[in-house]
Amino acid sequence: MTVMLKQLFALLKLLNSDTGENQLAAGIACGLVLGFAPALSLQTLLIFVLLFFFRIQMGAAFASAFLFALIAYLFDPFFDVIGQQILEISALSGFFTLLYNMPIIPFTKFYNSVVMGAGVVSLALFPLIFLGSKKLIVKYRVTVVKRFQQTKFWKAVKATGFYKWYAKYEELYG
Amino acid sequence: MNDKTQKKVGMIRKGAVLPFLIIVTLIVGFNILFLDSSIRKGAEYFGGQLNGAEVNIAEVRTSFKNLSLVIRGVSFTNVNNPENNLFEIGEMKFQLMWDALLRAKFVIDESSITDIKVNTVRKKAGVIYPKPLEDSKVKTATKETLANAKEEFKGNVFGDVSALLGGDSGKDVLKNIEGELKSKQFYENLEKQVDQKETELKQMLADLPKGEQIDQFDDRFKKINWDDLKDLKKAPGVLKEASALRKDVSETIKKYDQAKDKVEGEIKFLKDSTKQAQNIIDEDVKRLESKMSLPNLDSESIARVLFGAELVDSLAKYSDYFEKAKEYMPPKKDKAATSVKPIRGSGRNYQFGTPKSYPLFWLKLSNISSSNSQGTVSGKIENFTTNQRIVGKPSTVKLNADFPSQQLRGLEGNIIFDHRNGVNDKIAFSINAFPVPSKTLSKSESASFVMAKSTGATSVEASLVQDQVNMSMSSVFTDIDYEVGAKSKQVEQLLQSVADEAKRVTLEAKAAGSTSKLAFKIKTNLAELIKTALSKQLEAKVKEAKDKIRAKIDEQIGGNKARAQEKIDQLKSKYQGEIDKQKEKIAGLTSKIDDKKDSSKDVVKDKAKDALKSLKKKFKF
Repeated sequence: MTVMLKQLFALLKLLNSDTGENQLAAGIACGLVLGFAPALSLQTLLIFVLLFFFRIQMGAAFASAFLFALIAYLFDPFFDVIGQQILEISALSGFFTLLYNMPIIPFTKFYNSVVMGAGVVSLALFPLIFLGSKKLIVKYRVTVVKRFQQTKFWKAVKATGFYKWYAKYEELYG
Repeated sequence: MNDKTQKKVGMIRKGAVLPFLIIVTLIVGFNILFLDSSIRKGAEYFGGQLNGAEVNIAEVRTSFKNLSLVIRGVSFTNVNNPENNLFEIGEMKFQLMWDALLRAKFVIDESSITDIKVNTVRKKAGVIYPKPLEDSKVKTATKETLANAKEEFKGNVFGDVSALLGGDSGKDVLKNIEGELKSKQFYENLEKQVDQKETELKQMLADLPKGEQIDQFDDRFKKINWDDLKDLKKAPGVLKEASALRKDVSETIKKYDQAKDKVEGEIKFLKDSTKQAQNIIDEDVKRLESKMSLPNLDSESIARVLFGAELVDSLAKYSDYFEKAKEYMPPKKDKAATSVKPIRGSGRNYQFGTPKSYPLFWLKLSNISSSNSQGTVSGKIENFTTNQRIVGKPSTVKLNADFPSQQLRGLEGNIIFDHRNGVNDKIAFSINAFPVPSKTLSKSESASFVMAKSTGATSVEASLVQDQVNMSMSSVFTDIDYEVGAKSKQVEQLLQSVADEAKRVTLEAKAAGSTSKLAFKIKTNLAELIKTALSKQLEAKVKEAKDKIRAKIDEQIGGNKARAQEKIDQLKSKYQGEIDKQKEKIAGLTSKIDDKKDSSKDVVKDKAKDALKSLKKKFKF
């Protein structure tokens, strides 16, 4: 729980800073795959490994995974249709048979129509979500953050002793 | 935001590598240093729980390279004799399959069990673990049935005989039986019922018309001017009056008939109740007989007392095996009962070709082969799995053993647990010769009859098909050394004569039925011998004791019985008589009315004819 909260605070900090848009965008895109995949599957484990070893913003990944899991729940019938179409392609049947009888691979549950549909859609949307969220983050920083910094309220907050103390603390230990 | 310059960072989290390496090192280190000892301790603990006594393992060796497990020096403490081991296994080897493990399944392709010894002496006495308290809620139907059967087979033939011959039997039992006689309570209740019925009938009789009301009918009859019937003009009025009277009289008679029926019904009910009393008296007699411990001289009953408990224990043991098999190899359930959790939403699972599916656990084959100074064991365990439907084969055990040094000869065992389509389990087991430890057939303060030493041979077949249990056991005991003892000389002689004759004891036992209702049949030549020896001396004594019980009961309930009968008889004479008397009074009235009406009919007819004749004359027809 502490790690989760820490990651969420880091997400807010990074979102409102001037850097790290790639980390955030990658986190959101990974969250898409995480949210669309079943909780106990090989692909989920793979995403967790990526989050652990690569500088991907975990808070962004978890938050977007939560959001995309809700969306996925609504779109299950759609994923089911797509998954069925793919799994019934006769040209791919040999390939699927090979995967199905291989060790480890069946842990992805690729043979389930909803999982296959959601998986293909998430892979297709991955670059779009990455690029789209990157653009949105930049735009957010220009429009929302900059404007907020110009408000009297923020200027008043910056003038308080508490903020100054916090800024110093951030500079030294943050 | 703050103006702090951000340090340029790479794509990889270098900080995560070190913790990862530490975790991996810890896992590897644990596996190298502690995995074997952890498995050993775990196996000792679970084995001990299963055995009910300490289980020791000398060594466990695992190898990731070969995916193998070797367990050496496994000794199971004998629960009944903790100084000894029940058996000892020299070495067990298990070879797991990588292919299955990569699918998170544990499949032992081949294993071997070697160097088996039985009844070896332990260096230190093994610890006996207390049996966990059984939760009454999870007590199975079979266990409950067996516990009831064991209770039913309780008895002490020779103790009872001794008490009867010594004249002690029932002295105290018959002293204060008044409060516990169901027949006495029955007659007391019957008396109360008779009193209640009498009150009801009294009320009913009071509500019936009588005395003045009945006399009124006579007055009304007399008041009718029956001579007016001859007068054609007045006749209809008279007839109307007569009909009204007749109707009132009939209604009163009807009321009396109904009252009579009710009285007869109540008396019949009370008389039927007294018939039931005989059955209740018989039950009282039986209960007192068992309380007095009168020996039952029926050979089946003697056999049940002698070997019933042993049969139940044996059945309980097999039933435990069947229960365990059901727990670890659950049979196929109805489709409605199995809930398959779908993978998020309602997707469809596709199957491509024949999947290499394995059950969660599968011991494909385990060869048992042992030859040492004690004797030989051979056999195999096949297809022990958590899901027989995937494997498509039942789980089987075949065992042959011979331990001449332990006097355990020609042991053969065949076990089949088939749970592919419901439960179909079979256990067949036989031993040509085994030493029988002291076997107490009957023991009490007054008499004991013990098979101190003997050699047994037995064959047992037990099966469980769905919930139908079937077990048959056939045993022979030879070379028997008896230990007999009794307070009374007469009983001791009797026991000795049985022991002298019973040099070879046979036992045929069967248990069959559903798990909630089992029928037992036990036959033994020892029971026949006991019956013959006892019959001559005991029949008269038993009859005398039984007569005594019946007389005592009659004495206790005699007063109540007579009073109840007297009250019923009084009820009959009093109420039936009263009703008959009143009814008789008015019963004649209806016939009198009818006679008057009938006699007037002819007069009216003649009158009418005369009137017609005079009319014809008048008009000169």
